[in-house]
Amino acid sequence: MRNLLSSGFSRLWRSKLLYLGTLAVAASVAYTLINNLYYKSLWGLTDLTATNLIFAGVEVLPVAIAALVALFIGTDHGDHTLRNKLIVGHGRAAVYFSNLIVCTAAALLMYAVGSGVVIAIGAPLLGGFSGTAHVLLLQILSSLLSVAALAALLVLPATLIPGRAVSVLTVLLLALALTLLVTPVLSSVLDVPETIGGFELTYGDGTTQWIEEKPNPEYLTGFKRQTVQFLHEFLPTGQLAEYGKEEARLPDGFWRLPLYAVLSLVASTATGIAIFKRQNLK
Amino acid sequence: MRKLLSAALFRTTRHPVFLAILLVLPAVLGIATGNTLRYGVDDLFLLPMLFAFGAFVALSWGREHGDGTLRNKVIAGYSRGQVFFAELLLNTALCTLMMLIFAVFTTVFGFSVLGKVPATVLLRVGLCLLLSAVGMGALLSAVCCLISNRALSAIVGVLLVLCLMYGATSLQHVLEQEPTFTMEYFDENGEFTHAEELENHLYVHEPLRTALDVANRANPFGQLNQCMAALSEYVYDWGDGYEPHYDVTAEKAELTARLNTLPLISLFSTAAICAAGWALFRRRNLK
Repeated sequence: MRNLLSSGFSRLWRSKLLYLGTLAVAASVAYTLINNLYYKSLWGLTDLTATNLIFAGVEVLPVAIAALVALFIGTDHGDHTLRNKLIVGHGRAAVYFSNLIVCTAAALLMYAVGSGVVIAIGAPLLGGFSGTAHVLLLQILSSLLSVAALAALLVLPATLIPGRAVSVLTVLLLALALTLLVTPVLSSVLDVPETIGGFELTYGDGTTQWIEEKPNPEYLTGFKRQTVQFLHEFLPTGQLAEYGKEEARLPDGFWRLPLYAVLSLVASTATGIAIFKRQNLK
Repeated sequence: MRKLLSAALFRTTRHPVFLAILLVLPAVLGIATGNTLRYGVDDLFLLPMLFAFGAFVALSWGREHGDGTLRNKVIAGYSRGQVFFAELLLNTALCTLMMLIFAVFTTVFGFSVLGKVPATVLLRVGLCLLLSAVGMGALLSAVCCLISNRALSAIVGVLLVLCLMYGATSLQHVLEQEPTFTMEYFDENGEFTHAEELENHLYVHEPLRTALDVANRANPFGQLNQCMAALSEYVYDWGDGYEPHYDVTAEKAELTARLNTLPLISLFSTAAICAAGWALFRRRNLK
């Protein structure tokens, strides 16, 4: 295992994609920061805080992790080094774990660099972090678990699909689907207000109209709501989105997110190893 | 040329993954879009379609490069132009077919909502959607034909769609800005005191405005955004007791008028993309 990790990390540090991905994550955080500072300079206000940015400003992170994971493990498949590792006596679980550890380390590095940009530049410019230090620290540690869970979820298809191009496409599309489709849809379903109306509408000519408050038929309740909420919080991208929300400052069910991150990590790793043990490596 | 097209079509239709991307995915996304149209027109389900375009074209060109069949075709006596245009034509035609399947399923499953839209507007939107698919297919083909590594081609294909999306969204955001905005002031009790008209620094003035507008309309994703904007104006349900706070008829007329020039811009941009792709492919070293 130590040899596998050593060779894996040696390849990782030489990978241009690691540095490109890290640069892309840092650039994306810097862009969000500059954009919001520009708005602040124009109108004196911005709805972005340093705490939001540290968790929500890394939209590029899943795509960068996906590209790195797919190409890193895809090279192992393409060059048949996976098979060679088994021939020299390493177990399949050890091979899977070593790839998982290396890819998780790369994902955490990308996330750390993105967060470093926020802490070094964003926090002073946006007026520091909101909330207490121990809550922020707890959230940062929990979000690291979510990033690890995301890496584990992406390592699963990357290891199991032998074709490099198909593997790259699958992993990349999975990351994009989670980031741009599944998490926003689940989040918007959960954010639907319980009631609609109950406010006064003022038109341009000064006339007003009172809109009656009534229950919102689109608001999910009971089992349906619990299921959607579980799905949203179980997915690592959903967890990262939750940390970025202002109201997520230690809510009642805060323990759920790190617990779900660990569960998600364990579930995807166990599934991956179980299938990988039976896979025919050509 | 006919043989090249026929061989490429045969190869594509024989592959189960390609067939699933080609026929099943647009139908599923069309059904999802049609069923959710009553909540509003959104490009939510169009996005996976465009990623499918990226995946499809990247895999198609990647396989040609990977198997060395591009070189074989040139050795067999076909010119590079014929090889390039045969592959480009097929990819573009299949992307358009996917969009057509998507549009048909969306119309059938969302007929209760789309039925309210005048037929002429629907036809114009449909034409623009198909032309944007042609543009997207041509652009992806022109870029992916230059990359010989199949995995890299796949990454570039998908990321190109993502860049087009962010580019179109950013341009749309800039172009939608009004020259001025109203700042309302309230006293310490929360009572309205006065309003002031301020200059909007984000508003882009001429001639840059026209240049950005053309760039937005030349971008296939920008074309889709404009189709969605026109359609949503017609299908938006203001609900009982609500009244629109702007002249809806004028807004509809303006958005529909923009659809009249969109096909022309789309055709020009597609022609330019094809020409650029061909010029680069001619100089490409086929290893």
